[in-house]
Amino acid sequence: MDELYIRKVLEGDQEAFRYFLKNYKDMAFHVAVSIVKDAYYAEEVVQDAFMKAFKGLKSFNGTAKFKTWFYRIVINEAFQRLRKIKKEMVSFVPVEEIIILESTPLYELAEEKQKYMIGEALNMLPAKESLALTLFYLEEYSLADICNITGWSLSNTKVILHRARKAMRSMLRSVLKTSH
Amino acid sequence: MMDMEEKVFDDDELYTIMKKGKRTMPFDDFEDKVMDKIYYEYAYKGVVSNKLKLSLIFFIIGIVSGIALTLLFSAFGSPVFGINPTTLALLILFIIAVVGIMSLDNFLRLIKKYSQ
Repeated sequence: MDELYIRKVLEGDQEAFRYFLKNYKDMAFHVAVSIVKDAYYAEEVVQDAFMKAFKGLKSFNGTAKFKTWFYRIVINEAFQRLRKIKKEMVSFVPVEEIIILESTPLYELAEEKQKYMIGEALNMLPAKESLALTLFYLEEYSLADICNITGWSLSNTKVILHRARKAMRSMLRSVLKTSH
Repeated sequence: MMDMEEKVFDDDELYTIMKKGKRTMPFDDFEDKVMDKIYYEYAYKGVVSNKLKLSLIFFIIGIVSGIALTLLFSAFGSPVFGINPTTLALLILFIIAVVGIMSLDNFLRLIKKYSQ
């Protein structure tokens, strides 16, 4: 389906690009916000990424999936923006240093609250770790695909993902404790 | 009910958590904003392309006129405005070369920028 719309856009039908906006804006936003940690910056990142994709559609050779190619643009844009804004991130506290207190089990909360808590926990993770979790668990990319998209080595990806799993656990606990 | 402290390391558990935490674009006008940018970009590109064509025509006219002027002055036997025709021709040639090279450089840069 993507190929059809790529062809349409390249033939001059600009409106056909709306197909990509409809299909990829949410996931692109999730990826961007997991890196820049701010909805407004993430919106700008996704806008810029879509503009770059539109301008660079001619150079898309189809060897990779459009989705993979586009996510690569989003991730590059997001990391570039992150470097620019140098936003003060909440520092990651290693799992061992967190004092485990009684916390509310996540699934006892209302769905909206759960979503909010998970979002908060993801915001507290370092950019690379939340990105790794997003690509692996949400987008269900394989490790090889993640390496391809992010440019990380396989061993580095494994380490980041392992850290991310541990960190997500502690962050969720931390968020739940704060809310309790 | 599952307790966070017991099972959150589990892959399936994390998979469920991540699905629950999926964030969507919160700005309703996002699509229209990007489409507006695309239309603007397209229209702007068209205008720039026309101006580039026009500037190329004038660039060529300038170069041709300069060369013609040089040839014309070098054909004169007597001084023009009290200046030796060969000196005048060389001066015009020098000006054409400097202006031409600078314009060509800018022109190529513009073409490169807008052909992307």
